[in-house]
Amino acid sequence: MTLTPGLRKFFLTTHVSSSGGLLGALAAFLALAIGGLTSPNDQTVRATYLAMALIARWVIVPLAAAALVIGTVQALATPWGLFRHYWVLLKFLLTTVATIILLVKMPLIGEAARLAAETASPRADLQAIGIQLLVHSAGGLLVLLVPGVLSVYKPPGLTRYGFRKQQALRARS
Amino acid sequence: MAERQPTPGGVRDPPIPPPGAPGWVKVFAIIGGTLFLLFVLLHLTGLRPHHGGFHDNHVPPGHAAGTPRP
Repeated sequence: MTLTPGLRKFFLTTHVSSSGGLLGALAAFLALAIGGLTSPNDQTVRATYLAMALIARWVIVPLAAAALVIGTVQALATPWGLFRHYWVLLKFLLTTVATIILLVKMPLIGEAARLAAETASPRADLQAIGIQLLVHSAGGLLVLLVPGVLSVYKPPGLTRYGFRKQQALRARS
Repeated sequence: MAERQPTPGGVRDPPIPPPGAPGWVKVFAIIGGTLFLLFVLLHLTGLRPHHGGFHDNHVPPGHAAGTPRP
């Protein structure tokens, strides 16, 4: 499968936008997680966790899915391939693992929003969940910075599969 | 593995062995594997923070001492 130059640029633009947007949304989520843990005001804490649930459901999850799907299509439809270069494979693995962990943690984020909305004094009840969300968002942000670095530097290194494909292409030409 | 074409003399070149993983991939694998194992262990052993909506020392209403359980 190959893409026309126009379609390739469209996919590249969408992939860069969704990946960059995902990092920005995660940074906003992290800022809210810190605010939810440190604010002395109950109303601020309540608003913080409700906003975190909205950002996670309507921004972070869609952007993570878009970055993963479009990145995979883009890799498969270009000579880079998905399994030929270590840097592409690592990007794919990191984004996949981060997206799975995000989806696993979605019920916890929903639980935090529910507690924030229903509890009279949310700060005490949300302390443990808040710490967990803070750790996961900080970890997720660090993990998702790596694919960006790999995309820019493209460190060399062919996988065994990539090496075999390269040899086959050379033999054919 | 694809082999090279025979030379005019009829002698095949030995196949080129595939390259090993570069150093940066090994470093990534060690760090990533350790972090992932830590993540899985923390979640499997229940060392993650408790999140049930109540604190560990909090007794839900109706479950206080002396109150008969339903």
